[in-house]
Amino acid sequence: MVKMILKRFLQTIPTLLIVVTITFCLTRMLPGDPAVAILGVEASAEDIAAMRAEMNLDKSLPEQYMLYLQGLVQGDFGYSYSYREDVLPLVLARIPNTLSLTLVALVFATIVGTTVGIVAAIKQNTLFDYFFMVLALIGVSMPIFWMALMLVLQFSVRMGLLPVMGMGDIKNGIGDVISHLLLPGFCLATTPMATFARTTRSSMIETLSSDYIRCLRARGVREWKVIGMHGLKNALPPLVTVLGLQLAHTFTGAIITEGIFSWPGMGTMINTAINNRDYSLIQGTVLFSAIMFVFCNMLVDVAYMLLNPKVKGA
Amino acid sequence: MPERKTQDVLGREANMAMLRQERKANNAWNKLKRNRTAVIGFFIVCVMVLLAVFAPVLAPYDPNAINPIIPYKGIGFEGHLLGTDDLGRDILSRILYGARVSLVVAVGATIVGATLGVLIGLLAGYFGGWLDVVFMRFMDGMFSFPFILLAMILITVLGNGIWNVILAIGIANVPSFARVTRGQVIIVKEEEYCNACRVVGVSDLRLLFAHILPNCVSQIIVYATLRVASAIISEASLSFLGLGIALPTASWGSILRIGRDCLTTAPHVAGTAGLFILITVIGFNLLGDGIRDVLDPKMKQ
Amino acid sequence: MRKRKITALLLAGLMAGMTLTGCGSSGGADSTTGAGTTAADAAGDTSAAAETDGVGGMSPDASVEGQSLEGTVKIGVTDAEPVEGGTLVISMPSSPLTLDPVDYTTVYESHVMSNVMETLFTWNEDYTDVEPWLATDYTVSDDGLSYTVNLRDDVYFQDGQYVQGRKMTAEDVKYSLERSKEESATDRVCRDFFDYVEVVSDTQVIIHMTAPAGPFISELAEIGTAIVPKEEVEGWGDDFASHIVGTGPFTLEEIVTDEHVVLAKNENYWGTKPHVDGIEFRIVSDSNQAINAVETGEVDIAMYLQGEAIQRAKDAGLLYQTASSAITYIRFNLQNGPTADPKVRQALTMAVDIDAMVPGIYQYGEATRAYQPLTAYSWAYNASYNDLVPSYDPEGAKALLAEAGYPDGFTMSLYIGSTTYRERMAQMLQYYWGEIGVTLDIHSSAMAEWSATVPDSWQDDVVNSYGVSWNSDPDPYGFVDKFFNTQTIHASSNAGGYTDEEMDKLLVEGFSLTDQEERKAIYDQIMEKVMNEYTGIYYAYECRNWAVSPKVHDARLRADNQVLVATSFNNVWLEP
Repeated sequence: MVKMILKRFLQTIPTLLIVVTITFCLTRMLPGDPAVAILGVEASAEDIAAMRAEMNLDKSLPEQYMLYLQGLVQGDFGYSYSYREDVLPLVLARIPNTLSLTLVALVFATIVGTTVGIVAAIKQNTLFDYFFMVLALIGVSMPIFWMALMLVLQFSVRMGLLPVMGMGDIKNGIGDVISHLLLPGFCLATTPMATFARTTRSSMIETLSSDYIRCLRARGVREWKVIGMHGLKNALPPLVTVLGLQLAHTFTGAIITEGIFSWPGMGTMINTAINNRDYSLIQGTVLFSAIMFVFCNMLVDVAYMLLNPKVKGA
Repeated sequence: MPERKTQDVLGREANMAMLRQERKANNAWNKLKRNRTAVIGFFIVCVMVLLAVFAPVLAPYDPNAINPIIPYKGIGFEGHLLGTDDLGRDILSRILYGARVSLVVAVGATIVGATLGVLIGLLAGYFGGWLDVVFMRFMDGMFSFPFILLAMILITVLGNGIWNVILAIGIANVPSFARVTRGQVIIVKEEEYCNACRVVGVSDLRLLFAHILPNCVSQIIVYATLRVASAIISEASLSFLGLGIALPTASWGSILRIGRDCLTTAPHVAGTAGLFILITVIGFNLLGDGIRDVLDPKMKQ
Repeated sequence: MRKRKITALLLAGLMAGMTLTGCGSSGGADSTTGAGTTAADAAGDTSAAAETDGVGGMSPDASVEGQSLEGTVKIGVTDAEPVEGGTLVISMPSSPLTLDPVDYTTVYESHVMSNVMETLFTWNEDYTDVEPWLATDYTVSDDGLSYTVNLRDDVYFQDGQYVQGRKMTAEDVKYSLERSKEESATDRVCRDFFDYVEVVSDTQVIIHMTAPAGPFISELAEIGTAIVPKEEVEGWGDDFASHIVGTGPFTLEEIVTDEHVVLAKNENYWGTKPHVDGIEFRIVSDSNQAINAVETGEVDIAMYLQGEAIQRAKDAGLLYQTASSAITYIRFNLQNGPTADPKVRQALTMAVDIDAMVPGIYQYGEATRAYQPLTAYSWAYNASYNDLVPSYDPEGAKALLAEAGYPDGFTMSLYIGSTTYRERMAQMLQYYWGEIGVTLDIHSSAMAEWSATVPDSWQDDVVNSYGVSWNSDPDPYGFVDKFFNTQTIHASSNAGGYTDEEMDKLLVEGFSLTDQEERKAIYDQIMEKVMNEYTGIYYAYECRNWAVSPKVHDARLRADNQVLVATSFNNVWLEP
């Protein structure tokens, strides 16, 4: 088992190296000169040349690439010229914000989504089932940025119940934190929640109609035990897979959601970085989001292995 | 008058009719027709496509004609069924023309993503070995990018324009298509008939494209239909961020972007455009679900 | 001869990017300020001057007609007894990045800096002229080559890491001004004219020039020329930017990027001590949220409101608008492509109904119509030249185009930053020009891309026109010299490629004269010449929109975007 995990861990290294390389190439292809973005359009040619030299942009691309890799190996992620700060502390300061938003959303989505899915499976073809499956369908089809706008319009602007944007401060009490988290968290949770509900339902229906469950029922095992212990256990593996995929979706969603709610996370920073052609910061944020993504996926894989010993060898 | 027939003949005919009916019933198309979700989805998609195709006929105004005197007019204002936007342009006309952009981009991007992704998936899955490792590691790398981020950077690199948006979203779509295809190929290539082909001496490429690919197609189609749905959202997201389609071309995302600036004073701008996106995406999702149920009842996730 | 590096910084894009939405709605108060000169694609800030003494939150609605261009708006001036204490909370859309006077580039930075640091001269209350501040008086030699400046004797630096209550001396003035000349990427001290500072005594310096420079003294009122202690600058190195020390009424307490900057009252301030205990600049990128915060009392002053938030502030009776000194315009490529022909440019100008376009772009009255490439604040502004802008006449425009050899029109490009106001403008131009057969391709991008494409673009037939805004202090030099001097031809301010020998001569004359009347005569000639050449469409003065809580008293909002807290003529206090 440990060996498997270790192997899985080592596999992430080439993946990350590819991420670094792709990002490096893409940033260099971005139109616009980062030196001009920093110094302004009125800066003299000499000043721009000096700035380019300072940023190592006067070197050849392979050289720049090697320098960047060398830096990475030594834990140096470069310097963000638009924030005038090292990339590492900048990104590290944002990660908890993004992570707290995405995790809250995912946990919420998982709990609600699976519960609805299970109940819908048990009460298959009832009004409850239809109602929530239609809701789930709308959920997976929802452009979340639009929903975010509509929710803001309703709950913040019209009703004045929730803050329009920003992240709460624990100094102002837990209520402040929760009220700020509510809208962006819900928006971010919508798609995964709907997906969980759909997946859980179909997975449960399949499990519940299996001979094994029928057999249990025939033996008079109590219904809640059948569903809770045996049914759910067997329905879990596909859910874990979906969880892994949803992780990526949630991350993507976070970029847009953060923008709408001015949530001071990685998403807002990435956008600033792209607009300013801040190469190091683009590379840094992309790399970190890839690391988080890869790491979470690894956890999912490990969880999958634990749940489903059959795939051990695969 | 009923003709006289022997029991025998009658029986045979009845049998034939039943068989015919059964065949007909098993025909994918007919199965699809009986699938309620698929029918609803198909209907929605058809309506949207028709709206897009006949936009020039249906649109009451030139979608780009500005009229600065009547900005942000509400629903039903003087012949503007869905009101006007910030420049006094007719929102209904812009939504109809926007349907063209959204659908073309979504379908185009899915085709681009599917073509490249399927090719990579086929090669990686079939040949395995180092080719598989290189391709799939690269795909993993791309996959680790948050999708929208990859599309954002690509569109910034490529510049604005419909074809560039198609390319950007298409490229960002490649890794998932490659994964799906590869997974399928690995299963299919071990099947009996493939081994048989190899024994007979069918060339690798022929085997791959003439035998393996057709057996993966159903899954790819299901996946593609669902991807069209998300590509519509992706295009809208990019336009919402001000990336992608060049001004003044209407797209649903760009209408939303304008609507965001007038959320309190003219909520109908964002409201209507978003509703169209939502309905269309639901349509494609329903259609995708339906096709999946028909083509591959086992594949539920 | 004189090589002028005019570097005004444009961090527009930078700012616009702070939020995702930056490009859309909320973002974008990408105003820049600066030294005399700044290119700013002011996405959002806008203007129409409106002025009234808003006593106790009385809202001075700006009517588009009859706006007075008042340099400073007074807020909450009453006879009531000031109350000590409280923290003034000011929201702004983006975080200040570097507070070092030689490196700063955005208005957000200057807001913080101007409360911590001070300059030799400062603008008067009406924003019409400068008066001594850290200096007591000055004399200029007859040849205009040396300024003898006497300094105050009672000014002390704030306590920092390396200085503890040290007195400011002539050496500090020498150090600070020469540092600006040498290190600043932006020209803040007329650096090609400013030579060096001679220290005569602790309280007197002589500033030597290589050639006379009319606007020099007003440049010394710009926060980029603030007097800083050498020990702190050199002790901190690059980190001085986040540990600034000056002589001002407030000291820097804390900076948290994208959250807030906190200033505390300087207990040892040499001048009148502020009534408030401190200032908190809070970063609120969304205008709607900013106005909410003012309504709930979380924020006292919300700066740079945009779009709908302006209407909301107006409805709540909290809105103040100050006309900006920035001119918003589009310029044509004067050297290549169809727009090289003045007839074509005239036709393009005639084809646009500017009077309809401006309120169409600025739907909440956030701008007034402009005519000339000059701020209306300037003493050199002469409204009689407004008539030189051709009036709306699409038929005449068509005829002119035909005359110029384009009876069927042509296709041209327009490069803008992707902000709401610019995109709206571009689409309106597209429509108007479409009516005379000209097809417009709009290239809308982040400012980083814009600024890599537009400067020097006159050399090719790729960029036919571009839109941006330009901000400067009211001296005409800050506008026309940047727009029409051959020496600026590689800079963004003159990306259309204007070059004309006669104009260069006039500009030099206008710059070197020190008598304002004589200068005005020259600038009149310049303006008349330029207006007849149809170099661009100078369409709007965008205004700054602020929401101010009624509990704020004795504040000033100035046209250069500054909110003045504690000066010689005002001292903010908060009603508890």
